[in-house]
Amino acid sequence: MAEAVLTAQDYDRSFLAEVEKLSGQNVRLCYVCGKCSAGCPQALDMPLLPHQIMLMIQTGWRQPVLSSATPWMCASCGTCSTRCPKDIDINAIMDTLNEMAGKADIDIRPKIRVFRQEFLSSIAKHGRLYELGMALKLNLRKGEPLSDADMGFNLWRKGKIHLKSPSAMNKSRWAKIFKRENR
Amino acid sequence: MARYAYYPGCTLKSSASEYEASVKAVFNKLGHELEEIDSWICCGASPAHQSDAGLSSDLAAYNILAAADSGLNILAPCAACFNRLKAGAHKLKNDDVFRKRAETEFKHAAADVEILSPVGVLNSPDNLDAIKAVVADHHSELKLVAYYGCLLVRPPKIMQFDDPEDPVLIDKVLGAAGFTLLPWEYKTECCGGSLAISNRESALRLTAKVLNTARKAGAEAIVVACPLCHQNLDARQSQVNAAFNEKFAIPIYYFTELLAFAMGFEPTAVGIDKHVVESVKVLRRGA
Repeated sequence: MAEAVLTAQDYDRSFLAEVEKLSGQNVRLCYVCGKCSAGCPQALDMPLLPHQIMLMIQTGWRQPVLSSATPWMCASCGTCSTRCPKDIDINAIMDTLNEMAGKADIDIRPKIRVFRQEFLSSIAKHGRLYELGMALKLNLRKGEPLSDADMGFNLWRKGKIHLKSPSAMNKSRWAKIFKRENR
Repeated sequence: MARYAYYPGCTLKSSASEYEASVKAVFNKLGHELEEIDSWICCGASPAHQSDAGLSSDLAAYNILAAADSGLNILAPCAACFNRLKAGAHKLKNDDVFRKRAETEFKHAAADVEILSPVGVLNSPDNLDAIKAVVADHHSELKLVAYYGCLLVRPPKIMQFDDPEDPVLIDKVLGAAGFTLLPWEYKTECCGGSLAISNRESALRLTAKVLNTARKAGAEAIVVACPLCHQNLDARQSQVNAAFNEKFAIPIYYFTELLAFAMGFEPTAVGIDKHVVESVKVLRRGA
């Protein structure tokens, strides 16, 4: 497919407002100094750097941002938020982009998305993480049955992986958390 | 004698059971009581806030309100849980709409529950004095570096805990217990904890850098306060070796395991023998 060029029709003026509202951050304050990208441990693995993403949000380039792997590669380490001279919580913005991409069903990094889904599915069911159950289900979904089997075996023989699933009390009180609208 | 509403979090009951065992040993030895919150649920860790910010806040609010009955402050040893609960507490305090909804939903008034980490609590003047008294002449020659990771200290606006670029609290409490902590430049560089399962390649690269920099600083072992850091550095050390053609054999200790050892507990009593990388002989050798 021929390489697409971004033109005026790709500008979505509502994108900036939407990201600011969902993240609670003033994206418009960013003057693209690059400090976030300079401290980002995952920068080498990101197709677009954090400061570039910030400028693209300001410009209203919804599709390129939401279809970028960058938010999925974020380690949530918070270094960007700590060092931003305008006090913007860039980590929160990455979270928002992940959430928006997820809701729009944009599957740029399916293995990462599937991990998060299985983790949350496990805690929705048991109230606490059932590590073994999640690992088996996840490996099945990814088509990698032996992924991390080495580490799993080491942890198991040290008695640190339980065969039985955990069970948090009072399910009727917390189950509703997972059943909210849009969840 | 202090009492805390104890929030273990998922890993302290399984893959990080040594951390629970050593936290309990140290706190009990100092005369404090930990009362596990009956109906605690998962804090959501990274997957929740990375896919649904509202869910993450709700999970934190539920747990905080579940502890509110006890009238005690929450002690959360896991750095991720500590971070999530603090974020939730911050929102409960500053977002009136959110607080009212949480109170109605979980049928409990939001009390002024403080979220605490053993890293902070054990550095109180009273606890430091008590630790020094219990460990007496204990001294270890083992060269250690303290690896704080990300979630204990960032973002500083929410965590307000130690220094976000050059924290010292783990160094301080272990120094008081007779351990040798080396200075180094990699205290808070991410190990890739949240990427361990979903993006192993990245996590191993980041974890390898921690191990390598610790070795460069002259460390024989690394001290942590986070179950995900521990799992990356210890349980995945062999994966790092395989991926980068290395031969690391660096023990990874929870800071409370070292405190417990200095206080006279047998390493096996607090689970130091459950590490994947051999950690018992190395510890005894340094004493």
